[in-house]
Amino acid sequence: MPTSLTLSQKIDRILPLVQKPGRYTGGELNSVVKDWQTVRTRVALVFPDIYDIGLPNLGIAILYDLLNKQADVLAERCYAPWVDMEALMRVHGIPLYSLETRHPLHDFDILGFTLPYESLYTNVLNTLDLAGIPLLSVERGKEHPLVIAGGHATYNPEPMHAFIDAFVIGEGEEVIIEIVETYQQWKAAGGLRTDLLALLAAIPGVYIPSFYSVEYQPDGRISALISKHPAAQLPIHKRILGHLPPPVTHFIVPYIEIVHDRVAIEIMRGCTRGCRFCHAGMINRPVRERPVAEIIAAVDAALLATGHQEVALLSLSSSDYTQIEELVEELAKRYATEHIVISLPSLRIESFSVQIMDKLKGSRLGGFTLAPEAATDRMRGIINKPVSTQQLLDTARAIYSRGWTTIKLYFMIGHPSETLEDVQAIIDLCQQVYRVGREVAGGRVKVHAGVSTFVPKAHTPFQWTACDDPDSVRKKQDMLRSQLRNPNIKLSWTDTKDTQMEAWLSRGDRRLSEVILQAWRSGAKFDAWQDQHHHDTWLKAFDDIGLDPAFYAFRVRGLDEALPWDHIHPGVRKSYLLTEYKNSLLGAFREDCRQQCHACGIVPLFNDQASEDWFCPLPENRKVQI
Amino acid sequence: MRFRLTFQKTTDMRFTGHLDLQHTWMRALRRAGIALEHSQGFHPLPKIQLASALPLGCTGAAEILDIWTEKDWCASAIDLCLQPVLPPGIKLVSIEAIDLSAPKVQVALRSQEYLAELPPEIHPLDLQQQINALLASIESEAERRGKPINIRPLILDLQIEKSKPAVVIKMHLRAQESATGRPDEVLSALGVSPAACLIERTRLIF
Repeated sequence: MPTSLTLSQKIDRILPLVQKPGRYTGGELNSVVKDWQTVRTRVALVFPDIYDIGLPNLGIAILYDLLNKQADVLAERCYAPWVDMEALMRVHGIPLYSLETRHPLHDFDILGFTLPYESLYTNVLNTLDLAGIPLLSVERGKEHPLVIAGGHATYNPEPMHAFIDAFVIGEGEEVIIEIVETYQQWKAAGGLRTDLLALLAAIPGVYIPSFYSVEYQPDGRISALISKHPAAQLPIHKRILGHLPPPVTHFIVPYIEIVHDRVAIEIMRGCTRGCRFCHAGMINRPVRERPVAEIIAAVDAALLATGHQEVALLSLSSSDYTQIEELVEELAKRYATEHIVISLPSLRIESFSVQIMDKLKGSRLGGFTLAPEAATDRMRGIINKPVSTQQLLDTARAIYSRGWTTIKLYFMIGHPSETLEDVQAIIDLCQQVYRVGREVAGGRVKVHAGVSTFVPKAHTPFQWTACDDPDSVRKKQDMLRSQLRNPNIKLSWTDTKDTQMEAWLSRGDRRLSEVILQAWRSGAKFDAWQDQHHHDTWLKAFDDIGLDPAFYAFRVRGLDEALPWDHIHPGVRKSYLLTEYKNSLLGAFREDCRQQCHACGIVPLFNDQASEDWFCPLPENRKVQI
Repeated sequence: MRFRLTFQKTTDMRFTGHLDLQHTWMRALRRAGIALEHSQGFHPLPKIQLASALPLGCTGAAEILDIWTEKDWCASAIDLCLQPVLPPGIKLVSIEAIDLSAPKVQVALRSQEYLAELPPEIHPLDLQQQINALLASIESEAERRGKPINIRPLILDLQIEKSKPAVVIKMHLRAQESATGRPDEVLSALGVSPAACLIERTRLIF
């Protein structure tokens, strides 16, 4: 390739040689192209997986919209190139570039990574490397972009601490603007990079890992986390929005097919159910709902702006949205005849959900998804998901009798103290659901059982428990496979190797940065892709660094142990998590907190931001104080 | 009613494949509020038909799409509604109402014309020799989906465009069912890397 070509020309020459070049062109409808010369600050929002997966990410869509609405800021997007594109980029010396204006990432002021899950970590390193930016935060100077990260996985930021300059803990809508303003002040004043970090450390919700050090006991457990800088907060409280702003409607419309070609409108944030395994349920409190009129207006505007045919209403538990009936009736009234498909995830297992979905079913009828998670009352008490077998069967009957032919059931194995009887009950339940379907709708009914493996997460009541042993998990999976042989019952499960990687990284400490770096150097990337197995690479990386993966995955933590993420405050108190852990050991149910407050700590912490769209009843004993 | 839309597919969309282009059109028509007839059955699909697929990476100067509207429209009203909502990679050239019983575009198509702008390192004289040799041959083998194929019968004519400042080659290729010439295969047969060229389909010939 002639060396005189511009970056953009070089890109154009390699695009015809890769699969799906539409991933790398930009220029999509509703993308925002601003003038580089007239803005003060340039932000690249990076989703460290391929375009097809990253484009529908709602977090990026929200921040892109917000930042581009600021007159003196521009935000552009970047996704990880697939391996074929990466190889050509490396051969031709093409640095990773943004889609909107094809500027190399190192020309931006700020790189913002979104990290919704742990298996993206090696891709962050790969992205930085392709951008020609030093991987380690300490090796970056004034000439390099500020590298920040947020998203669900960063509630335990420690494994990635060496690579990220600043983490955002919690909801990003307000804090991103504060970060950009702080960056602008620093740049105008012309200080050192450490000055910038010190200014950022003062912003609530911003965590600067280099301002802290961690000491370990001889056995590998943490003895202390020490703040080394006067600006370093302890603990770092997550950020929330007291009131949700209107949703994004001008979604970017891709030129190629992606995983979710649809409008996504978040109807509610947070969940009051209190399932003990659920990370999202613990860290996204309090529950805030958007008004029906705002959602309807957003759906209208988004369909007009995109021309999409599908609308997904997002929330952690749609049935709990207080005005779900009004919302669904209004949507059905407006779109029933227009070939628009409206999907509503996370419905409770009750016949009311079937009535709701019945109103939305237009010309297309997909599968109906339910998530019982466990199949015995004992296990339901442990995880705090009280759904009786009878309730599930009644709901299944209602679903099949209203015309759906496929029910998807989500279960989890590997919960604490699970026995083979609990797994046998999953098998029996799937067969019972299938039999109900046969009775009601005959031979064409199907059951799809998705059985994933539980991974304990930081900031949940199960943060102290051990991950189930892979041999035991495989035995349970064998049992499921051998007994669910009915061709009309489809079974899917998670490879124990993927589960283990998630387990190491989700409850890892700072020393895992070295393991991640070593694994990436040895070829690990795209760890979220099951066809890119790097399990042995990871095991070897642990070995090279001198750490034991079992220490992170299979060890029960002491209740008084300092946990690597203790300095990150997700809003719920550790004492609440501990109470819930103890309740799980007793198998004791706790009510939905819309019924009764269990004093998780979210209300007092964010009292000054509380608004009437919160669904937190006050604890009985505190009501008198108001 | 049935309408025939002639449009340009420009550089922004040259990497959008045939199926994705169909989806792009369906979304644009929905944004415009033009309701289409749908097929019957379990999975109803809007009725639209694109003429022959444009190879990935090529632009199109006169592409053709037929649509079947649910209601009666006049062509100028469709134009008025569509123009403001078209994505960056599509430019609408003309719309005409056509007979419901007119043959399918894919069936009526006979041949197509491409222009390829070649990289500056190619000399017109060398290229002319390559063209002469290729046109004089009776067989030129290429590989398509892993199988050998003789592309010579698919080439109707090849010419260097004299009027252009850059070296541009005009290719007239056959376009019938199971006998469609591909510009990238022809360029490769001429010893030119297709990835380094800007290729545009300029005409669909019926």
